[in-house]
Amino acid sequence: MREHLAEEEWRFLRADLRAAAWVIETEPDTDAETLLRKFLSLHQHFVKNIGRERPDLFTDVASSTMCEVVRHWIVLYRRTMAALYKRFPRVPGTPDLSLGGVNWSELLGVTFHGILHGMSHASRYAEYWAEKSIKSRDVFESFAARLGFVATPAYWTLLDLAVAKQLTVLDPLANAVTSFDLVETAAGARDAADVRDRFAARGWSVDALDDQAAAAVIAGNA
Amino acid sequence: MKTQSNANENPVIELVAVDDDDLITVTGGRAYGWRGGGWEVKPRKDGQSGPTAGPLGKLP
Repeated sequence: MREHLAEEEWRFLRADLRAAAWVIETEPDTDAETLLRKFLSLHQHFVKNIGRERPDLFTDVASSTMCEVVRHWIVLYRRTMAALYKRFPRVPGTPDLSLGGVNWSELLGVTFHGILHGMSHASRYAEYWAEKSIKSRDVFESFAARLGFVATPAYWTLLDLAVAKQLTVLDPLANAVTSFDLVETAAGARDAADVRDRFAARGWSVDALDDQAAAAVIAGNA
Repeated sequence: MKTQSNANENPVIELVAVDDDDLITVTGGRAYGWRGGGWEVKPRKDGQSGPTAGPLGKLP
C-alpha cells in the first residue's frame, strides 16, 4: 500500500530516519577522529537533503567540544527512540513503514503509526539540545535533566498535543522548541497569558497553544 | 494498490513523496512534522493508488 507525503515533509522525515540509523550503528565511545569524520559526513548529507546551507554552524567550535556534543547526542537520540519503541512496539501484524527503499519499522522496531506520530519529535528533542549545546554550556549541562524527562507523562502529553496541533512553539529559526524547554520556561506560570509572555521573552513564537496545552505545559514539572 | 508483506507478516506501507499540489489538504496543508508534530499522510487529489486506510482513517 502507498501513502502520500508532501515532498518537503518526506525529505525531513527521511533525514530523521537516516539520523536514527546512524545513531543506532555508531557507538558513543568511537574514537574522536572517526566519530567526527562520520558525523560531518552525515551532517553534510542532511543539509543537502533539506536544501539548506549552514556554513557557519561549526565555525569556531573546538573539535573536543564537537565530539563531546555528538557523543551525548547519540545517547539522547537513542533514549527518545527507545521511548518510541516502548510506546509503539512493532509486533506481528502491525503495519511497517517503508520509505526510500528501507523498512524503517523493521530497523527501529516501531510501527508505521509510531514513526509518523513521534519520529520527528524524537529527533528534534535530541537535536535541539545538541545544536544549542555547541554555543551554550548551560544548555550542555542540562543533558541529564533532558534525558530524565524522556518518556515522563508530560513528555508524552506534550507530544500528543503537538501532533494534534494544539501546541506548537517555534524558536527564532522556526524550528520547534522541545517539551523540556517549554515546561522549564512555564514553571510557576499563573495562566496561559503568563505562559505566552514567558515564551515571547525567550524569542519564541507561538503557532498553537490552546487552554489544554497551556495547562499541560504549566503542570509539566508538577 | 499493492500491499506487500514481509516474513513476519507485517503489512508494509510505503510512504511516497508527491508535490503539494497533488495532495488533498486536510488540515490546512502546513508541514508540521519537523516543526514539532507528527507527519500527516494525505490522499491524492487524482485518487492515484486509490483511497487508503491511513492514520487519518480515510477508508475506501
